[in-house]
This record gives sequence, structure tokens and C-alpha cells, in this order.
Amino acid sequence: MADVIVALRIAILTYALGLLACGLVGGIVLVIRKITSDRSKGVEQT
Amino acid sequence: MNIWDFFPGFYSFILMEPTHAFIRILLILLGLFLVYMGYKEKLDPLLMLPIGFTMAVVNGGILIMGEGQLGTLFVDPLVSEPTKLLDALQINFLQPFYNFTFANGLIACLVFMGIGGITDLDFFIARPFLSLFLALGAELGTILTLPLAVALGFSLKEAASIAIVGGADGPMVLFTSLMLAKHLFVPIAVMAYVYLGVCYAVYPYLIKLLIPKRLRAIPMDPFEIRTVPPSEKFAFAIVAGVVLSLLFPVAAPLFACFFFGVAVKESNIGRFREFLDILLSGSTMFLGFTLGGLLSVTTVMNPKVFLILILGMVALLLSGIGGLVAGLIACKLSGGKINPLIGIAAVSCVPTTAKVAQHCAMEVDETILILPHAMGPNVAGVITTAILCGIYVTLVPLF
Repeated sequence: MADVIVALRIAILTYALGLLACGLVGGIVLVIRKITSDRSKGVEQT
Repeated sequence: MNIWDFFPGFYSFILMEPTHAFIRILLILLGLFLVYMGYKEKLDPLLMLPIGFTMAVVNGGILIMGEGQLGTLFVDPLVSEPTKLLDALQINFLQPFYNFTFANGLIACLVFMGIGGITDLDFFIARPFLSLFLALGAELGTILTLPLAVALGFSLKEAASIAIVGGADGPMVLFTSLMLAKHLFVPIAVMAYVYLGVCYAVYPYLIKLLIPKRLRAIPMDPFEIRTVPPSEKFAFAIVAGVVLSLLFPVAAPLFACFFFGVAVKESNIGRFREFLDILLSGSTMFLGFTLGGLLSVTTVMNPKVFLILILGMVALLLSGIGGLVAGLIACKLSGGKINPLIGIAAVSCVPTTAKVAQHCAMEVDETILILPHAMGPNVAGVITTAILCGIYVTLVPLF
């Protein structure tokens, strides 16, 4: 039973870390989108 | 001289234990069945044809080796002692392929690089958070199977290797089992690849069970997805590859290969792109061919195999349910604008599950096109599975 509880804790921890990592990936997408759109706006203005 | 000496394949049936002989016949028939299902495209032909064919042939081609032992001239995954390994490398025709590409995870990385080369990030980058939300839902099996497998008597490392089957991504399963439970690598890898082919056939029933017909018919405009410039996709591949490798160094080979494949695709280096196509086809073919060769009666007689088979199926079913439930939540939150079927596409397995979603939508209304929307969660599924694989491989040895 103790092993199962440890496994459950690892599963929850994994999901939480996965959630954070996915948030980071989403954040990277947004930052790159912002940089590329700012750059293309700059090109249009010049 | 015994007449049976002319037919060692048949003679080996007599020399075997009756149970082994019976299972061997079943495996030959199962291999032929998989070939048939692949040929008819009821199961994924890319995997089923090589796996099924070699599985039938390897179980047919059992003969009496030196010292009266039964064996084949294909591959021996259990040999580890250096002298015996050297002998095996000179006798078994698939042994060099197994030792130099399977046992070190190279084949998983090559397939993953090839998958990167055909992955279109447009739909994922256009709606990253929706895609990731669905993909996290579709990791339900990857998470819940871990305690379930431990409860059934597997060690933490073995359980994590089995649980990653819920991510429905072959290269990740190969990689995790090689890193955490090398002794179970063969049954887990074989079971995972056979099941990935089966996804094609089983998920439509799960969809019909969980998603009402009117929700399956929700139309989604494919033109509402914005066009993403290649420079944005290229930059994402490079940055995400570096950041995720920094976070989970143990899984860095997987991240490096996948995102390098994506970067090559988006950088438009023609020669590299052509090579990635060939790399993916060649690696998948030899992967299936060698996996089938590993499916001999001795592997299947491992007492843990039956439990692994059940847990793998449970993991994939839970992931399918998680994806569809996340799809239903997204549908509700969007006010009925999102077709919940795209949730099943989040169970990775590019592009099979996205095609399943499209197929099930078309059964209700032939004019519906949800495939472009399904590709976003499909790609996100690959990324989340690679992330969870990285976490398991890093975290589990610490406990």
C-alpha cells in the first residue's frame, strides 16, 4: 500500500510539473509570436 | 537419419512443451491476421505489415540450435554476456540492428526526428493553450496507470515504463523502457506498437460511447486558423528544444531529434527534408520488422506480459477518455463552437488519432472538416508526452 501511495504522489507531481512545463511551452509560443509580429509591423512601417 | 531432420521447423513443434507449441501456432496466426488487417487498412499498415509478417515468420522459423536448444536466426534480445553477444552478432541477422539501434534508443530518436520532419506546427502555434489543455487531458492514462501498475506488483520503474504507453507515442515508450526497465523493454515496446495500431480500430467505438451525435456534428471553420510564418515555427522549434532539454536533460536526445526535425522542415533545406522522409520510412519499417522478430514464443511466455498487455490497454483507454472529456469541457467553455472530437486527437499517435477524429465527424456529416483543428492537439500530444517522459525518467529513479 505504501508503494501505491508513493506512486500516486509521483503521478500527481509529474502532472503538476507537466502542467508547468506545458505553460512554459505556451509562453514560448506567445513570446515568439509577439517578437515576430512586432518585427513584421516594423518592416511594414519602413 | 530421422525424417524430421529435413524439416526442423516442424520438428521443433514436437520437441517443445505442448503449451509453447500451442502459443507458437497462435502467434503465427496472429501475425498473419495483423498482416491482413494492415493490408485492408483496418489497422495501421505502416506498423502492422512489418510486425505481423516478421512475427509469423520468426515463430515459424524456430529450429534446433547447437546443444539441442531451440532458437531462431533472427534476434536474441536477452543475450548480454560479451562472448555470447559476439556469437549472436555473427549468427542472428537482426542482432546488429537490435544492439546498435534498439538497445541504445537510437531507433526511437531517428523515428522521432522523422516525425518532427512531417509535423506541421501551424495549428498548434495558432491555438497553443487549447491544444495543450486537450493534450494534458489526454495524458490521463499516462498518469493513472502508474499507481495502478504498482498496485499490481510492478516496481516504480517498470510501472512508469508501462504508464507512458498512455501517451501513445512509440519512440517515447521505447526510450522510457530503455532508461527505466531494460529487462521489460521487449514486451512493453512490442505491446505499445501493436496497440498504437489498434487505436485506429478501437477509438471510434469509445467516441460513439462518450460523445453524443449532435456534438460530433459541430462544424469548425478550417479557415479561421491563422497562417503561421515559417520563421515563427522555426524559432519555436529551436527555443522549445533548448528550453525543454535544459529542464529535462535525460530526455534531451528525444527533444533534440524532434525539434531538429521540425527546424529542418521549417528552414526549407530541401536535401535534409528529402532525407528525413526516407529516414522516417526506413526507421519505421525496420522498427516494425525487428519488433515482429522479437515477438517469439519465448518473449510472450514471460509471466509479466499478460499484465503488461492489460495495463497498456487500460492506459490507452484512459487517455482516450481523458482527451474526450477535455474536448467536452472545451466545447462547453467555447459555447459549443469546438467539436469535442478533437480531444481524441490529443492522444498523440500522429496523425492516426487526428484522422480518427475526422473520420468519426464525417460519419455524422460528410461535409465537416475538423482535421486542421485536430492537428493542433495532435502535435501538442507529442510535446506533452515527451515532457511527461522526461519527468518520469528524471523523477522515478529519485524515489
